[in-house]
Amino acid sequence: MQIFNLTKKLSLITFIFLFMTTAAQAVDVKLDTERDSVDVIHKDGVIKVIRIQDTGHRIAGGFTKTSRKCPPFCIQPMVPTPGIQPVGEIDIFNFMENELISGEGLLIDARTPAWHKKGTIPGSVNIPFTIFEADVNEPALTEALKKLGLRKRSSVSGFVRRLEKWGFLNGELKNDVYDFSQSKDLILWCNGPWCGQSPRAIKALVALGYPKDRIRYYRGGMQTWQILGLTTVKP
Amino acid sequence: MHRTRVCIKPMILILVIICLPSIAHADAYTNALYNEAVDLSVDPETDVNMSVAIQKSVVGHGFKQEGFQSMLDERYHGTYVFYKRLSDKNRLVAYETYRETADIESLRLLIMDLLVN
Repeated sequence: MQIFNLTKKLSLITFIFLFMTTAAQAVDVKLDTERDSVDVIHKDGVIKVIRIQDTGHRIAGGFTKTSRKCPPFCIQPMVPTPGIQPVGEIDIFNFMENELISGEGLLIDARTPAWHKKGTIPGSVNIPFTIFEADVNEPALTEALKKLGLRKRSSVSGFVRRLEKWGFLNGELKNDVYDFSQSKDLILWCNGPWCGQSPRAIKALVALGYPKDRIRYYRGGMQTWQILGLTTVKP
Repeated sequence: MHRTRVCIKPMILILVIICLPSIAHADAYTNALYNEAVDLSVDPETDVNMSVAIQKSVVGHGFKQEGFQSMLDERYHGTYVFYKRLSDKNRLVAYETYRETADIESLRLLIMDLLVN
């Protein structure tokens, strides 16, 4: 009887040990303390964003460079323009799980197509910064701003604008050209702390009147995304 | 009149000379971007194969009904045209099905079925 009880205890201990080690080995390199991965909708598919599990891996490819000429590839400030909040990877994961799924947000790869086609962060749409800097009547800009939820206002008279400014008409989140009331939450990114493409896109959006509290800047960009071994996808 | 015409040409020339550096600067930046991108690649260990990632034609799960309708209109306009012809009750049925399956093929079949019956 004693031997049976001992055997039973040993089996239980072994089982618990095996379970714990198996569970631990499932994902050695998590995204954070809570998540092994994040599922992201990318075009017509779902991509699981994970980190490279090989703890001995060293990054390969072009993002191993330490020193690009400045200018033009100068280190960027944390805040590209006053009022814009910088964010990190955890914020991106949360964004992927919330605003991207609900359709209330857009993750924007603001790099030119030559960069984008080499690989992008899953869930991102490519709107190069050059589009945001285009003339306000440029069709490509109009099309891009539609994706962001902006509506172009038909010619608004000075009288209507005055009424809006005085509060007699609802002028909140509107200017002479655009209605921003349906504008999406945005996170813009580019190649990393040495890249000026998304800062330029952000400045252009702010100049158009886009609400600053709906724009965030992922300064880490593809550089940090690569350093952390996070999933990328070619368009 | 003649004096005005004579003045305009130098003014245009001065304007072009002033603007040229900024135009050249903008081109220089985009050229530098392009040249840097040419030899660049991401770490192949991070690159996921999209054809593997797409297990089925996922509509996009997690939307509220309004977002679901906008998404249908944007990505599957043909299906959206038929969806719009459904009664409010059947639209809700279609939406509830989408929440369960998020598969465009089965959603299309359901919408057609609801329209016909």
